[in-house]
Amino acid sequence: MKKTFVSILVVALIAMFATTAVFAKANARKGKRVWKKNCRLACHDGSKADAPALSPVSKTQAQWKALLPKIKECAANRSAKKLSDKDIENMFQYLYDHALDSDQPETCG
Amino acid sequence: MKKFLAVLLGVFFVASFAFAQDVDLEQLKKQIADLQAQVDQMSKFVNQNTRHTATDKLSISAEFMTRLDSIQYKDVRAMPDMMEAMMGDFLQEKLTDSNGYFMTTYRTVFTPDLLLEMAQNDAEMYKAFSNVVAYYNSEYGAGIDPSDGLDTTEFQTFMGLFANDRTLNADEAKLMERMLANSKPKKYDANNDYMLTERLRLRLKSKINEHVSFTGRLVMYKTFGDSTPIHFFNGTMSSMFMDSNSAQYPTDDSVRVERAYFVYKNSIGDVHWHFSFGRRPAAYGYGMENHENAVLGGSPVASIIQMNFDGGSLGFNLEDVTGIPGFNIKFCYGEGVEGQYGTLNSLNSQADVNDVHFFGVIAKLFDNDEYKVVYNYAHGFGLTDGFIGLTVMPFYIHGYDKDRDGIYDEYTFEPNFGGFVSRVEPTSEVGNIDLHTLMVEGITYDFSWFASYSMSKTDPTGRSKNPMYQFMGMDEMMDGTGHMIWVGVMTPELPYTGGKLGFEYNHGSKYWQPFMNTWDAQKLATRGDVYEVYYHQPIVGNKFFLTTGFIYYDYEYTNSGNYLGEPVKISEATAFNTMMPVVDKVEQFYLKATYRF
Repeated sequence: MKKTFVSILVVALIAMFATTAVFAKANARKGKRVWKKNCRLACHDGSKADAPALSPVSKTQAQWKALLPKIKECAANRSAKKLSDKDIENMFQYLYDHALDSDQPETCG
Repeated sequence: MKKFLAVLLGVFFVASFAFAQDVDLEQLKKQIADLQAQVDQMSKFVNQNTRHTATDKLSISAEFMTRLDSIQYKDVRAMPDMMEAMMGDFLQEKLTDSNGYFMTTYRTVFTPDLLLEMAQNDAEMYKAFSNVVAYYNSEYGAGIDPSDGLDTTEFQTFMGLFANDRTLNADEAKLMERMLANSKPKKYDANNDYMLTERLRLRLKSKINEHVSFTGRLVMYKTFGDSTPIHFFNGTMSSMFMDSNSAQYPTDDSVRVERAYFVYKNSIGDVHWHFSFGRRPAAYGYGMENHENAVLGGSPVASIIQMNFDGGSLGFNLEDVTGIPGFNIKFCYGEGVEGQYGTLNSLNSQADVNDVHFFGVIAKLFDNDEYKVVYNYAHGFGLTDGFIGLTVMPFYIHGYDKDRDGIYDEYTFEPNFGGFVSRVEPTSEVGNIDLHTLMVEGITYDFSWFASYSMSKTDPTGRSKNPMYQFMGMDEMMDGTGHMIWVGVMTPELPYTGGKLGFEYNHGSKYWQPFMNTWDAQKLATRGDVYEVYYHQPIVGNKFFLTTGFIYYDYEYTNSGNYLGEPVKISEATAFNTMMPVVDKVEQFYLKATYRF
């Protein structure tokens, strides 16, 4: 029973791994690094007068969606490093996934 | 002429300008009026929003889950039918008839022929009686010789010991124990094919400013058709209604405060710290995310602690100091029992029931959002023989300690035919416990996986003064080191369906002892093997989804989740070990619908 169960599961996982690799979407984890290095620490950490302190929870998911053109413009014109479309996509995914109205970890600090 | 023309042109120019200005002014006035109307309307809305912002100090979100469970219990061990029947008659004081003879039923049952038949057909039962009678004979010189088999008179003489009343002296109690210990339990299957439950969680959040916030969670966890939080005691802690498991097991429609705590956050240079106190988020921690299809749901690592408790934490985020992503250390405190308020022994100077305190450290050693390594240590100081709670006992045992040596000299059995509810509380300290766990989580090629190793170490220091525990041989904390491994993996969203398939396995050794007090995580207390497979099907993303799963439990030792008493291999358990039913294998199918918004 156990062996059969485990064997079926292993085969199923391998099959899924093979099929899901091609369905990759934007990577929020990579996006976090892009955000922190190029936006948060570069401008939006609260130390610059013309750039408000920002973090993902500063906006709701709908607000981040509405701000996407501005984010792209900012990335094109103000970012120290030229961000690729993929970078922006990943970064947006991070901001959207961790927005004010997203599911937040329920820990105490 | 030139002058005249110049004047005329000037007049025309001014007039046309004035006319143009008139037109512009009209348009401007209209625009201003429109704008004013818009501003007035917006002002109304802003006023409303401002009032709401100022007065709505609490934001609420909801999670509602309905669940169908179908549970098959295989090879349950319990006292043999005959012993169970005799125990019932003993509790009714009907082992003897009005003449003092052994109850008619048994007098007719235990004929010499039947005893002979028992010797042939039910060797175990016969051996039980023979061994006990032989012991009784050698110890007390009762003149019963079981070597040639028991005759009716001999058997009745022996059974007469238990037939006079519901009180057993120490020797009689020992005899009863030996009789049960010499008997094999019966085996049977039981099932609950259809059990529906529903759980409402109301999440509360409030924030004064960036430094101070409040979080709460109110929970109703109800069984369809149940109307009380108090259940019959079945030998497990989960059947008692306690602070540590309220709203974590299905009961009635009461809404209970599962979590409520404030958090104060601040920074000293690059060290970000927080301090929190209240009813802790102490369940659904690291390791449960895949299972729950949710973000991290609590603080302690889920492999060692998932129970309600009140306490505090002091945490330091050292990522910016050390450069190690996510590096964080949190010191935690919790109180398991308040011993001097509201308890029977609160003013008793001789009582050995002090508060039970827990101390812990949760060290997030690494977290780059892709991989996490978390170590959790917890120590329980002066654990008592149980916790404060309510339950319905099928029967009670109360004891009389003649010589005040802490060991009861008489046990009196009290049946609970009325199903009366009892307050259950600790009687004494029994020892300390250490728990360690290391959890590694990762996301590799979008597969979410985790692996953990945990260890528990018990340190017995005292003996329970609870007569029932003394009679059942569960009056001391087990003395041993337990181990547990728990691994799991979940696929990314599958093509076409968007669903996620997960698999988990956990194995606990003989002395494995965590603090698991939730319906969703009871498998992690198992002294044995557990396999689980589940599938999450999103309907509206992760805001409304279905989950179906199957869990297979294969228990190897008794008393999973209980540190009192020595665990026994289930295959070797006797009727004495199974006075309360002991489960061997469980097959559990479940189907859930979760609304989370």
